[in-house]
Amino acid sequence: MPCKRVRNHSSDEKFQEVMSALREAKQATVTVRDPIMEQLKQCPDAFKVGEILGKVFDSFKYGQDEILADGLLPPAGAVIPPLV
Amino acid sequence: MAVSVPRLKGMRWRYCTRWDEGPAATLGMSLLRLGICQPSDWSGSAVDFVERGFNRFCRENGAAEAKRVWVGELRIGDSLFELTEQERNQMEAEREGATQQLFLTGDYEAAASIPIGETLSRLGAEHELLPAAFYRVFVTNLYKWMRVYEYVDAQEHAEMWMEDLDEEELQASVYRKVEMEIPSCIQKHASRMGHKRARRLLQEIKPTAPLARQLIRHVLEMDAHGLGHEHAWPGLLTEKEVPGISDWLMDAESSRPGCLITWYENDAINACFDEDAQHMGENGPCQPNVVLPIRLERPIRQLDEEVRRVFDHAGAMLQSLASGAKVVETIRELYDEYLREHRLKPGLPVEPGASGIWNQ
Repeated sequence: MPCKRVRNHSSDEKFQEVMSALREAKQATVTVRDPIMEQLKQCPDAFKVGEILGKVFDSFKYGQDEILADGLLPPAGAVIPPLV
Repeated sequence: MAVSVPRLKGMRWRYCTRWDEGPAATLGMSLLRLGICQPSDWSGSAVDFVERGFNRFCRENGAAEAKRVWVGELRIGDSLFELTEQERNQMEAEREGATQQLFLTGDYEAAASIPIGETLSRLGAEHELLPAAFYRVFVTNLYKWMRVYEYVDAQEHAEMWMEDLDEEELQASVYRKVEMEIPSCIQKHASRMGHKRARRLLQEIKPTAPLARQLIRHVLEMDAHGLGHEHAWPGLLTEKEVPGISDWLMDAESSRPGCLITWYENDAINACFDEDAQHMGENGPCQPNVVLPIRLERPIRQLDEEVRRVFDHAGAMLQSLASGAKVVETIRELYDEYLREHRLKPGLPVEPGASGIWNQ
């Protein structure tokens, strides 16, 4: 006999929490006009900067450019002295 | 005063616009209900949530094994083909509200080279009908997930070009060889070898060679994973499912092949493929190999059924291609062995030639 899937209390709570966050995310799209998006629509070229940065971050993420990453970013948690 | 650089660990790498978040949230809720996404996938972004669930789903269904041979991607997006940032921006500007439709698309960046001639010879030594039965089941199953370039395509290409050649040119051309190079086991039996008969033969014939047994086991595995699934070509989509699809299909070219089945590398099929491949995508975008629409505006139960169906298809595709990858690896091993035995240079690239890698 197939057994019924049972969620315990805390996992059920987490399930409902995420479901509600997703509902909010969906609702936000329906009701809110994003001012940044509105501005970018007026000037699509502004995306170029974001696109270039996105590519750099993607190369960090997928580890294809570790040498480049090392050269651009200080190690996580590093403390950098101020520029005078 | 010193400036501290925050630790990046645990941060999301992608932040999306609200316009991407909305459709992802609807899909995410469905994936959560279906158990494909888990509450622990939630990081604050719906796109990220879907991505985590989808990546895990692909891993669990053998994406890594499939990737050993098939170079391509399965993706979920709101467009049938890839857009530049500017095209996307324009599309968003024209769109009223959030998109109500997503697509799961599957495409290949290159045609995987499958030099099958030696494998057929080995199978022929076991049983006369084994090569044709193996070829039929293997190719039928590949066709479920991709466009396959095989000798039939080369025959069509050759026939078209031979019409314009005079006798002397014909004698010197590679097109004549397409017909001549077809192995006799395929010439004799392929046309009468239906898929059901071929599968039955593969189940009944017990080869003595371990490699032959292995090949048959993997191809039957592939067949079992694909059972009940048909190729989700973009051409099967209706106007009701995707408004405007007819116009789009009229402007688009056929899908690019996900594999190239030759008898031996650099044979006549390969030559025809190279010629064909040079012109693929010249007159419009190439259709993706697989497209499955997800209509987000549907009532919850129907949406969940559709998402389940789409993910079942994707799962079957990955599992079948993972088994198919094992078949191809064995075919390549046998081909390498053949080259060594015939004192030819082994290890010839089994990757496609330059024309077999699609320019993105």
